[in-house]
Amino acid sequence: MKILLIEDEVSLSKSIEDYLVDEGHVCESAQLFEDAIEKIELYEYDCLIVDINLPDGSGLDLIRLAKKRNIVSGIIIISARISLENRIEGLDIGADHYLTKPFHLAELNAHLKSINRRIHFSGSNQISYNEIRILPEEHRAFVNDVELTLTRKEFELLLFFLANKNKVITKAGIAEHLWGDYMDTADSFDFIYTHIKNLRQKMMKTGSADYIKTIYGVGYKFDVS
Amino acid sequence: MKLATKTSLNFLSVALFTFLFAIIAFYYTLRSQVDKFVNNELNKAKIAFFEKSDNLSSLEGTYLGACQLMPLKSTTNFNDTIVHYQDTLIFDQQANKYLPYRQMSFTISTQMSAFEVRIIRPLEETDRLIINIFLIMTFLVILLIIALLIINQYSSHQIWKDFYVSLDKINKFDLNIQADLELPATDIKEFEDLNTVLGRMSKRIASDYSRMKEYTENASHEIQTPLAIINAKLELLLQCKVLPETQFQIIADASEASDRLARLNKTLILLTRIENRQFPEIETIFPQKIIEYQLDNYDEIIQSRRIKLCTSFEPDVSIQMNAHLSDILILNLIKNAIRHNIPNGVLNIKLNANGLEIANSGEPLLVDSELLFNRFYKSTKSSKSIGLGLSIVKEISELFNMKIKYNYSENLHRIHLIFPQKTGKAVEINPI
Repeated sequence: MKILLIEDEVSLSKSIEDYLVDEGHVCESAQLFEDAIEKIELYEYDCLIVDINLPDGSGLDLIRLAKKRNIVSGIIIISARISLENRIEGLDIGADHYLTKPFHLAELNAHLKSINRRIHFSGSNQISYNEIRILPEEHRAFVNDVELTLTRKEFELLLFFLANKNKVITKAGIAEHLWGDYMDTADSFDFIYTHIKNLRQKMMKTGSADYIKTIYGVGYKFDVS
Repeated sequence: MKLATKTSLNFLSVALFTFLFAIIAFYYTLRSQVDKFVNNELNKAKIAFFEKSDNLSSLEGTYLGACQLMPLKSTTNFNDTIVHYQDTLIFDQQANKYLPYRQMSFTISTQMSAFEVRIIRPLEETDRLIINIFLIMTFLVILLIIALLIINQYSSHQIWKDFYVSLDKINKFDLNIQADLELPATDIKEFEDLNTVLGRMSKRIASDYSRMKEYTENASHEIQTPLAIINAKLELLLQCKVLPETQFQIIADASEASDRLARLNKTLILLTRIENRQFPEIETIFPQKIIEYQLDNYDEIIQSRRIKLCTSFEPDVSIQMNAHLSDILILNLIKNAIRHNIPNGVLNIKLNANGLEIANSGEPLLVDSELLFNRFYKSTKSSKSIGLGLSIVKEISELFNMKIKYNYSENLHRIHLIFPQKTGKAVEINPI
């Protein structure tokens, strides 16, 4: 995917760019409103990642402009503002997701993947990796064409792992993905452990390789190496 | 006590005190005036008596008009010039009772004998007059006091009307509704001054308040960006394939700490926003739906811990509150009940029109239950819990006039949320 990242904080912008490039995306970045306008007017992108508070303008105006020019398919807002109004306004004018800083790069990546599927498979999509096949819209997962009976959280977990293959995902990153903000970590880590144990068992029972590796004290990794 | 009542009472006590003294003084003045008048009359009678009395001896022991002559035993030791006045009661045969008289007595002497002459004047008429005057005066004074009281009440009601209008406006003044405090114009200088001062003060408070609010929110929001950078960098570092195990662990610990800080900061922003009343939209909420959604969300955790779930919902229970906050309120209560539960414990949820009761098994609290809803209170030593969940519950419930109660019995922690009684009025967010 070709992505335009508009974020005034160079350091953060660089990290996101590194992560996305590593995932095989083409990523351009703009630090200022003016630069972003120029890029939006000149080129086309698959996805826009926009920070709302830019030093010389509002990211919301950039979204409006991009929507008017009809040059992007997906828009993700990243903002330090938790305010509900901002979120509602952003989603109203056509953004797909609203991530509050600080967010996990794995989370951003998962959102990009779902936008990617929407663009390139126009809804009737499936995700395949080796013996694993997932129909995200229908919430169904198969291993060697045998359907897995997964709970909702286990399914979400598998999808999240497939979006972030070969990446170490922290427990906090998983917890926030599964239960959203305001989830205290205290025992969600135990919950995650339970979910992952069950998911792994169910997959291996149907002949899948043992992809999910525990990185002790850190988190988990869908290891494809 | 109202100011008008207070002034009326002061006025009344002073007026009654003064009136009591004045009326006594008035009585005695009147009395002495009347006595003087009667004495004059008696003196006139005395002169008339001397004109008539040519032969005193023949008059002995008889009444001459109102004069009575009494022979004196001794002719010595008396002085013709001394005249005595006194009030006395004399039996009146016609009225068949004693009647008041004023009596003048003096002595006269001839060569052979001496007499005491007593001249009397009836006082009944004048006494009656005094009493009548006295009564009329009292009546008038009381009437005057009552009239003054009524006028006082009425005029103070008129005068203070502007004040009460201002007071009402100040009472309803909400810093979060960004409108200036507009106090009505008044023609009373003191109130006008007060309104000016209050207006100026409220403007300053409003600007200070919004600056402070902005500062708190900005500070928290500003923290988010550096945190995002730290988190992103750590996450990138974790993807390094060449890191030795020990360093990997260090990064993981740092990442966990910064995640916790991020969550803490988000929660504090939420609390600030609740305190700042930044959730003004109120709608009808059906708690049952939210509870069922959250139970579904935590279903697998409830099952994996073998917690026995028991719910009872009265149908169609609704409350008036902000939708977002109602989600957070119920999420926190349920999360709390699951977190502090024990394996094979119970979770009872009871919803009716009066309130919501959530009970869960668990070890008794180690410290005072009063502290349960305080910020950063932790029942366990668990450092991973940030201890803000129940203080969020408290803030939200206070905002919407709900009462919250906690008790522990039969190994069950019970949190009872009591909904405000429906009054038919529009729900008002509690003023700060």
